Amino acid sequence: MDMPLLIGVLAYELIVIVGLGVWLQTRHKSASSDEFALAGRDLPMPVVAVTLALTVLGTAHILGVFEMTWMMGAVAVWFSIAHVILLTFVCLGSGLWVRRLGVATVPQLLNQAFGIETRLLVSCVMAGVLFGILTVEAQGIGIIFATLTDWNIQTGAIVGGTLGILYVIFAGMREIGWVNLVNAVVMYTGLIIATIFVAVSLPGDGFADVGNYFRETDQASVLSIWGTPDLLVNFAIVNVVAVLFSQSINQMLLQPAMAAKSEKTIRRALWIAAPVNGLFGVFAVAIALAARAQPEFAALEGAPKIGTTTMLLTYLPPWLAAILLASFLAAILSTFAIIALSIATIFTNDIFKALYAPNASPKTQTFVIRLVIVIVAGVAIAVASLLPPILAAMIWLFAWLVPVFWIFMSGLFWKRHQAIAVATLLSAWAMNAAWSFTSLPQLLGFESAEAYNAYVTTVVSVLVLLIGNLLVQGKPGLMRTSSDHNAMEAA
Amino acid sequence: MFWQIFIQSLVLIVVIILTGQGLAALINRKHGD
Repeated sequence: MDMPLLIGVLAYELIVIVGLGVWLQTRHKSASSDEFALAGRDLPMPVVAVTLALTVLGTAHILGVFEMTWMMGAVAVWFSIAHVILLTFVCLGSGLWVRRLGVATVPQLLNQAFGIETRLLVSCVMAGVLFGILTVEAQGIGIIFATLTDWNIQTGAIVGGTLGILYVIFAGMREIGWVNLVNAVVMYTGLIIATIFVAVSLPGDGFADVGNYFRETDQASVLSIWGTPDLLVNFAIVNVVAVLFSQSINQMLLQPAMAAKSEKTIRRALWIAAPVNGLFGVFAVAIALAARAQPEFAALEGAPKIGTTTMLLTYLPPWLAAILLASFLAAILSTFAIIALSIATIFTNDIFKALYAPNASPKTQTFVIRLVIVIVAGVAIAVASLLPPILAAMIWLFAWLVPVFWIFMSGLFWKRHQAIAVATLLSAWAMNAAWSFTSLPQLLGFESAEAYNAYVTTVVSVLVLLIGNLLVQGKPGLMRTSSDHNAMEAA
Repeated sequence: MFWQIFIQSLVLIVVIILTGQGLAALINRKHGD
């Protein structure tokens, strides 16, 4: 890519991020401790909607969907559909509940439901999982830069990671929200223009010929989002389970909901958040299918990983490649920034304040959040240069949050008992570690650990929680009776 | 080809949202929320 164009993209990001960040910082000088992490809990509907959509739209949606489409066809769009189901659950369920209970973090809610031990256990593991996802996003930023410029992945990760820190450091959640709103427009503009350009540049009759190619070569199922029955069960449903049971209680996705002006804001946000996230996958799938139908790209070595981006670079003029870079960057940076913020929020709220500084002033808390953002983002950029495998890392990381989902649901709607919650967490995590690092899968007749971690942790969590809850007395779930609900609000 | 995938996905997204809203309304009514 031309140097002036690259500088243009970076200048655009810097102006939007720093400009909006500084402007918001000077406009909202609230002394409230909620201001930085939760935007004073007054974010309007469009900002909440776009932030929810972009928080769970990152590296895996771009590079992962390109690769999966190449291997299995349009059924790969189910990665996005799984996120639509997730956003529906959050906007009509878990997002409303955390907003109603007025908590700042998921571990804080678990403290109210079970006790401090559960809070600390979940804080440490959730922050660890979020850090793992952060390294993947940092790597994604590096790969996007390396593909579209002549930089190496490490340089790209450093430049992108710095932009990611700036995305949140000035005004926290409020900055992320408003920058997201601007970037979402750029993202979709870039995607739509690039797709039109690809359609025009394709040999023959554009996308129609891509369809004909797959039908003539007896691969018509590649064109259907329902794929084959086998793929629907082994790919689509697996994605729905892994994404729904881990992300719906993840701090990074619930933090924008906690920052919403009201519950109604979150409910209404669904109609924007779900399509913005879901339709992104459609563009990624269509572009990847077009690349796969062209013999010159299909013949490349490692085609599933690089075929699609190579086609984009071949067909798109440099100015459009620059817009596309800006659009992909927008998607990944927003995820990077909110993950860094949610790790810092958990650390400050659930460890620093809960254990060491209960009387810390809002100013001190904001300082600690900012400090932690810079430290974790810096370390994540360094780890990203080791290039862990993206999708495998994500699936493994998600599995750690599965038991949190089940104790979250039990604590709100069924029964609360700290020992059972702790036992559920520890047994599911021990099983996840054993499944990944010992020969347990082989002993049970599986060829390898593969992507089954989410299933394994689900089974163990549900079993331990179910048996435990049936055996002990426990207190009723926080939302089961209106008096408990009122008591919660008073607390 | 593009429009076929686009429309299939859009319809699926709308169905998921409406199903979610229907389920939520049903559960809320049952619990008198």
